[in-house]
Amino acid sequence: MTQNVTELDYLKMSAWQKFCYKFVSFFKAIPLLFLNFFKVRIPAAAKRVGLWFKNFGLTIYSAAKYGDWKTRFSFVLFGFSQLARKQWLRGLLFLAFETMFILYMALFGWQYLGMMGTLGTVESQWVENPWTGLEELVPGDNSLLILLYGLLTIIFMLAFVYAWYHSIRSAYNTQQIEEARQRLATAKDDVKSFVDDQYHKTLLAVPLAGLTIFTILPIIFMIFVAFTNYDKAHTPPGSLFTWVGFQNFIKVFGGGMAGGTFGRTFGRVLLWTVVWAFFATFSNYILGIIVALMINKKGIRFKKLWRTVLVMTIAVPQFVSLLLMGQMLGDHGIINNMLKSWGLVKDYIPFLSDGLLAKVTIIVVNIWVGIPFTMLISTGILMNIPEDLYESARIDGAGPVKAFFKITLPYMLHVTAPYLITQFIGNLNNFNVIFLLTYGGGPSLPLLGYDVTATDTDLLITWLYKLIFRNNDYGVASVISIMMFLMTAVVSLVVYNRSSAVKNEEDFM
Amino acid sequence: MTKKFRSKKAAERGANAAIYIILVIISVIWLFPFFFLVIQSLRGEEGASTMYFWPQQWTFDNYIGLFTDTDKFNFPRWYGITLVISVVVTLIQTTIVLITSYALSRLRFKMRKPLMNLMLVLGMFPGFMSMTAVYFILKLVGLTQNMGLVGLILVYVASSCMGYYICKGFFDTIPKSLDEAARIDGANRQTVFFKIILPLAKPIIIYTILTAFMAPWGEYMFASLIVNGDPDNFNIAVGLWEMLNRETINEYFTRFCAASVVVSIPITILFFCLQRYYVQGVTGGSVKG
Amino acid sequence: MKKKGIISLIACGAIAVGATLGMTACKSNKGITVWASQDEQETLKKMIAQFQEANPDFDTPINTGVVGAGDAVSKLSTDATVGADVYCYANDQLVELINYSALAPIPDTTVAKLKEENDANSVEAGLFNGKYYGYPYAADNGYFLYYNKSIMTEEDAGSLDTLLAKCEAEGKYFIYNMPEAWYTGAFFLGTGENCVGGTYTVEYEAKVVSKSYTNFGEKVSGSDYTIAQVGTQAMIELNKNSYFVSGDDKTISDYLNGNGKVTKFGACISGTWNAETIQKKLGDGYAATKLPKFHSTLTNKDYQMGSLTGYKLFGVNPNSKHLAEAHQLAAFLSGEQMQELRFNDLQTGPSNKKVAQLDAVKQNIALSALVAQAPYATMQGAFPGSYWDAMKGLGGNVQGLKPTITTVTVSDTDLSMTDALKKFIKDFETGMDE
Repeated sequence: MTQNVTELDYLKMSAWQKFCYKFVSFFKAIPLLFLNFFKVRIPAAAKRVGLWFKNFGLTIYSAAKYGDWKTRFSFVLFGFSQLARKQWLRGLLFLAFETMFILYMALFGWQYLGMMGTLGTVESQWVENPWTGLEELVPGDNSLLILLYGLLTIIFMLAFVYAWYHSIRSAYNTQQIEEARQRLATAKDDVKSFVDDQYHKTLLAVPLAGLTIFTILPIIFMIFVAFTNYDKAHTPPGSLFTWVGFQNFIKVFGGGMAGGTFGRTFGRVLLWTVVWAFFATFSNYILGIIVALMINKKGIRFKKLWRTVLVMTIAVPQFVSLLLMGQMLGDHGIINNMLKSWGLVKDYIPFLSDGLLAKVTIIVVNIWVGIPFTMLISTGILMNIPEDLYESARIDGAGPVKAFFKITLPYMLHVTAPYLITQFIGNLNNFNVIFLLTYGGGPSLPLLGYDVTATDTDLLITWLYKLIFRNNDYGVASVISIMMFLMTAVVSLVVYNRSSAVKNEEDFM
Repeated sequence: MTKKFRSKKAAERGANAAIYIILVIISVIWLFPFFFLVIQSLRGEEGASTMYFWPQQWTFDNYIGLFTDTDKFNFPRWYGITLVISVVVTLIQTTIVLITSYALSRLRFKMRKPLMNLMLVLGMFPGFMSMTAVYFILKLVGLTQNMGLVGLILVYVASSCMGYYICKGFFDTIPKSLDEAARIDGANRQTVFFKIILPLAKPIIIYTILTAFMAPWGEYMFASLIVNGDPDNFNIAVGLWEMLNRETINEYFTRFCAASVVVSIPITILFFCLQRYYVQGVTGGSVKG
Repeated sequence: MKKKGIISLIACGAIAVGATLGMTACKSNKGITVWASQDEQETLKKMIAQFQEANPDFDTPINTGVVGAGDAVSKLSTDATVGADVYCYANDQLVELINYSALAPIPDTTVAKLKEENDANSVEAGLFNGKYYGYPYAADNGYFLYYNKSIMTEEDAGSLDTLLAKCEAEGKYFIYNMPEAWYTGAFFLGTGENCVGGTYTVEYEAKVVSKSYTNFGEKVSGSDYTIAQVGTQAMIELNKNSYFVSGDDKTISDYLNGNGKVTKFGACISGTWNAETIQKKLGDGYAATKLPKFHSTLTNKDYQMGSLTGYKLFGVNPNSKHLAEAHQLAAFLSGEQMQELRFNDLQTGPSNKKVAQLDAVKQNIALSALVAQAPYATMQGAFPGSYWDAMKGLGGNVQGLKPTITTVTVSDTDLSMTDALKKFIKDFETGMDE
């Protein structure tokens, strides 16, 4: 039905049909997007990279060929040409970087770089100390540190090459400007430019440095770990680990782990992860809007009070509130005890110990956690909906329910699509609610046919947590997390770049 | 006509009454866990849990004990440490988020879009997977043992630029004509940021401050790794978790509840006072047509 | 021009050197650190004071940190080099700790002394590949039965059936944590007199579990049923009883408090850490003994419930800057006097033979129950995660039957449960870390 819908057809649709149409066409567009990605984006990116290298080569070549001695000396000593031409700030920055790099390499970096191929060869040993008679540990190579610091060194080296290129380019530019007898940029000019046209560099330097070192490097590290045999049997510093190629991938996808039940468990957990993300997102969304509508209705008093009551759930740390909820909803928790004493149940309701019921409970508790956020967000937007829309609907004889589905929801969906998507992706990786509520446990999966490491309520992320901290199986866990990462990253990138917020970024000019 | 009008008014009143009832029910459900928490914190008899709701003995001892009986569980110190961490994290994180958002919203440079996409997806890698690596990076620069708290703060703020999304959305809604007018008057980009954008961004600044301030109170995983068992450096989450050991839970559960109440009070008050800005910030930042 | 270049070069160098030095800030290692749980801190400080008194020329300062015996491995797994010099650990963490280079072997002369002074099993608990890695100080990491003396006699508490009957008569409850793997084994493990005969074997290759298996698939002696079937059937029978409650320590606390005036506590299976709480609530009714027997409807016989038991030891971190001093301190902390002090302060069950013979220790109700259970206990080694997962899965599955199904039995005719059990057994019999 969604094929070849003309604009007229589209306009004729009801709000829900429009929404469904958008929903379906969104997913239909994904394969096309992929195609586009491989056919257009990748070649384009490759071209850009190629161009960069071409520039790189050209600059180096012409600087070497036509540069004067100052420029040429800059090949070895960063910033020399700038310093010689009295561009103190630039020269000093380049020089400082080079000095730091050399010191880093000499004092620290080179030793790790050399061992990257093997990730260490010397095992730690016990040697008896002849004086005390005690056995002492002589530490050997630490594969983990070799890999980590080796990668850090490689990142530094790439930065070094980049800086080298820029130093030479800047030196050569300066020389050309000087030869043309034009005014050279002074330190003052440089400072000025760093608060104006180069302002993004000033602003982003610190945030990006933090990002690179504390997020990107660890992620690269974990990706490399996926190709090693870092597991319980190969744990530094006690023993070494080394490269094993694609073995971990074969283990995960070949179903070789724990007798073939691994893949089946993976499927079940994945399914629940998606189902959970869907329900958790939309239940919060719709109920949150309804609550906001009720609070904001004309004639309802104490608006601030109602809001504050809801917002209190945000204020209490989740590890307290969810832990407490878990306890209250336990088989012998306060809620079951109260129900029992009122004679409503005979034994108890297995809120968190029955597979299916636990899933429902968790979604309900998540509503408790999440409604306040949606309520706060929709409060502001609801006020923006023109009142006359409702007025005319009322004149047409629409009741509040109809008005909600005809006006409020479509408007909200239109405006808050990015928020909804963030929520969905956040829920795919929602660790806290499930882990804390079930105290890291959860109802057992059927014994037959499933891997016992997972429980019925586990999401991929909580399962992964158990795999690492219980079994130390870093190699396999890295493979799974890479898969999860790719999945969520692709979905969210596609969604973001298609969502109107990004497309219409310049709307508010 | 008057009759119809009156009946309409009556219907309206009926609807309002129904809404009040629903709101009261919702409030009861939402407050029940807190109510339970407070009740438990006032329970006089020991035990990790009771079958009945109302305590047999009421007492304030659990609260008093938190601040007087500090030999075993030094709650005031942990509270102080967490507060310091929170304040420092808030300052740095807010700054980073604001400048990143400004750069991404207002400045145009070559790598802007790829950078935005990159920052977006990086947050989707499970954080605990990289914990070991982050630890050894901190160790490399000597920020683990005695300097552990500095390291902890660094980790909390290091990647905060990834949270640019809502703030950038808010900046996008500030009309660009304002910047341009200022640029024509000779202001550089820095002046625009400080003199034009920031004064208009009060709601989003407060929103960022609130979210940044709350996060460290519940963080357990990395804090427990980095403090390495030194009780002088525990934050609230690590310290309170110690109370729940099987040896101590029976004696200290009620005190754990009292501590949780004390922890949530300042955040609740903050929220109560700043709610308006929070709503404006999050609305302005997360939605757009 | 050149001069200026050189000067700026030097300036640059100075800045960079400063920055690099700042980066590699030197760490000062101050003395020896000892870890113990929050609960033990006070006692530990007393012990350290006594140690310093006894060794006036020991001038290395001693600090304490808060990491209990149960958490040692999780704290040391990331970076053992910054861990405490001396710390407590539970013996099931032994292999993992050795794998992380976090345990130093004890000199042979000291081992001889340890063996002489302590219960043989407690010293063996620190044995791996012919070397000893721990100074034992506690032998109470196990579970047994607490019961309410005012409603049942010790004889009643000897059998699950009579125990539950008494509970029913008095409107009180029996609490046992069925889906917690550590306790679930009670129905399978145990090779002592009248036990079902389940064993668990772990083999090591280098420092890791190479293979681990149970004999749960074997027939119980003199019957046609396997150990797994008999145990599971007994669990199902127990689970049907409405005076049985499956719950953790919180549930025990619930039932102890009862309605606030009258306790609803009939009996429970737990360990020494709950002794103080239970004694406080039950007063004169407080009693403890070995685990009860259970009656199997399959074989029509009674079997003694088994248990897991473990020890706590002081370990020395081989990364310590003060290795010899650390060994000296650990030896002192686990010595006879200190175990006595520990018993007086914390009611810890001693591993030291002399302390165990003290009247006060013998009269301690919980500890004597532990001793009574000892013949039926299985030493808890480094069981791999799959043991715990499978046990938890079984316990959870059985417990999950309660609110809905009450008629499930394990017999050859009930195919699905039999298959599940086969899978359950198989989980144990495959190598764990191929």
